Amino acid sequence: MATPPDAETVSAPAAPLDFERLVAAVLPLDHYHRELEPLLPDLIRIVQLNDQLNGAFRRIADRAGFTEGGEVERKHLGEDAEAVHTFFEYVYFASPAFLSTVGEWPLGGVRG
Amino acid sequence: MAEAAHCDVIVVGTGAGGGILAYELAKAGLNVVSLEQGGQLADDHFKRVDPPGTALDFGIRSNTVWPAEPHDSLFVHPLFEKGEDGSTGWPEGGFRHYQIIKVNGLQNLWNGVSVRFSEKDFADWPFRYAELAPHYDAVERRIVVCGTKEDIPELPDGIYVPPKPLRPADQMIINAVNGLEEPYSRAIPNRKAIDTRPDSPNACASTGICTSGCPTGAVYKFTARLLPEIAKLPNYELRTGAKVVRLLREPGSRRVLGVEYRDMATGESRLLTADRVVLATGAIESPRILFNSADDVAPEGMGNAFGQLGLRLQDNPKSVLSTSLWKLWGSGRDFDIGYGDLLILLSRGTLPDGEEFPFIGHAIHGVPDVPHYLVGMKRFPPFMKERLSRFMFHSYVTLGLFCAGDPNPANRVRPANSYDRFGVRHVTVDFSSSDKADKMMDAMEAWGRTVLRHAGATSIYPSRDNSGTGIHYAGTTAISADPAKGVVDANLKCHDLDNVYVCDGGVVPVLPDKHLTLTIMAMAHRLAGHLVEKARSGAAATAQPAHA
Repeated sequence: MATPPDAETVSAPAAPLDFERLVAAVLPLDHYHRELEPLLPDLIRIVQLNDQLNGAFRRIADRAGFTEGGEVERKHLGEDAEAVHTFFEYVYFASPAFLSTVGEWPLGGVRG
Repeated sequence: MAEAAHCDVIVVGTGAGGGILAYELAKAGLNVVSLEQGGQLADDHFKRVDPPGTALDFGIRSNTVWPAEPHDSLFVHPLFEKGEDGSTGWPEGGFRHYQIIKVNGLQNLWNGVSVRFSEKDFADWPFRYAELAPHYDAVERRIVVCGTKEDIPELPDGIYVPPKPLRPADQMIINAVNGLEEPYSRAIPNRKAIDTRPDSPNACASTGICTSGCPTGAVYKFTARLLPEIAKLPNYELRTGAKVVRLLREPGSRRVLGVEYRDMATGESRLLTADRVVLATGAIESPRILFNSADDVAPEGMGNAFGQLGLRLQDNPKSVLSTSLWKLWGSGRDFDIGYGDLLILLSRGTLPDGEEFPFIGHAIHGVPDVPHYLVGMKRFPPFMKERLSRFMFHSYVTLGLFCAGDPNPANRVRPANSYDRFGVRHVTVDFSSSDKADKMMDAMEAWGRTVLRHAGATSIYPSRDNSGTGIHYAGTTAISADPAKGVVDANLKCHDLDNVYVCDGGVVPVLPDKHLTLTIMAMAHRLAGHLVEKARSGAAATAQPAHA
């Protein structure tokens, strides 16, 4: 029969995190925040669906004490700063606003 | 047909070989059951569920990595299986076995490149090019391949519909290759299993990329073209969610009764018997099934009486180079982007010891709505990135160059000590890249740099790999007339079994530089003819009714 694990060694389930508030709090720290604000619902959804970003934003929330009402500052991005800024930059350059400027929006149609 | 307990032929797998084989056998009237471990994607999967490019979530998926390696972007597609249900456990740092466990297999994300092997490429085979040529013809007609006749001995011509028109970037690459004044270096329209005919219901919609799935079914795959023709035949059944675990021997004989498979929905073990079984699950899964079929008669695995099973796993080492062509800076797009890689490149490299080797590749020019180009702009401040991105948007070109595999017996598939979630034993892959492969990748990269510079390249972003990312797996159930040198004979029948066949990349004994998919399909067409003949001539021991 398997021995039940010591209660102290069992990691607590991940606390529910308000991704909407968190992503909204992190976005202003990025260069492209003005352009990306209209896309905030998309950013929130993607941060939750992408494994790496989901983990990164959880760590940022931990560093900032976000669930206890803390504010997110640049220093709280820590080792996840590159991933977060790369993500925001990527979305900007893949956004309808940018692609329109190079004549490649809307997507999905024939590019013939 | 209703779920059968016995059939004439079980075809395991529905990818390149399995799809053609099932179609030809069913059309010929044999009772056929296709067993497929995965399920079937919805017809509109690549249109609505997971469209190519940035149409959904800006092209970001659960496993997209930040920052990304641009040349790895092809490999983060959620359809690729890892560990849990796959053939191998995907050990960290090991050979990367890409596998899609769905109907169509890897052809769900197939790029469609369809080239014939040449006479030289058959040097290690028990038959010559001429034997397979009519089957190449038949398959090209069946799947529809676009291309042009070029009369190049190293790349035999086939039967083609017109390709999409070349773009300015293609012309720059052609001029650069021609400018090398190397008679063996060529840049010609690509040959791809794409229906470019505008009046076709599957006509290519010019998404600019094929490797993220084709939303119109223009790129050939079983479900888009052939399955609809046989799905309702009374003598054909596609059984999905059926993971073949092993072959079961007819006691005291060289024949198998059929297969044991696991119902993926319930986990139950089930049996399907047949006169003949064809494994068409790829160069890693087919050996896995044969190893896992070990019994008292064949303790090292079926098909392995001569110790050849799983040996000489090969993939194409590759060098990939991306750049921006300055001659295209500031240009807009007033042309059809087509299917992205409109050119095939052919050339030869020279190793330090003077040995020459051929290589092949393609030139890719798409719409970079997924902004991989940002990797090359890391050092620029944001305001410059934005200006440069606009200015250079339509200027990017990537060359992907492939050379022959290395038939080293130490590179092999063998039974592992790990198991999948159904308790089915994995295989593990022993694989290391040779010095020769490294030097070939060096030479291909040098040639690619020269071509790109001639075409007006700026900074060149290179990468190379020989750890499974060619996704052209071969060699592990090699064809040979000599049982001591291979696993299957000239008819793709296992040497030590009378009614088991293998029809996938594993039978290719020495992987040439060329993409192997069309050759797998041609072999499937040839094997279908052989099996139909066997069935009709009454060579089968007994012909049993289709239904229990």
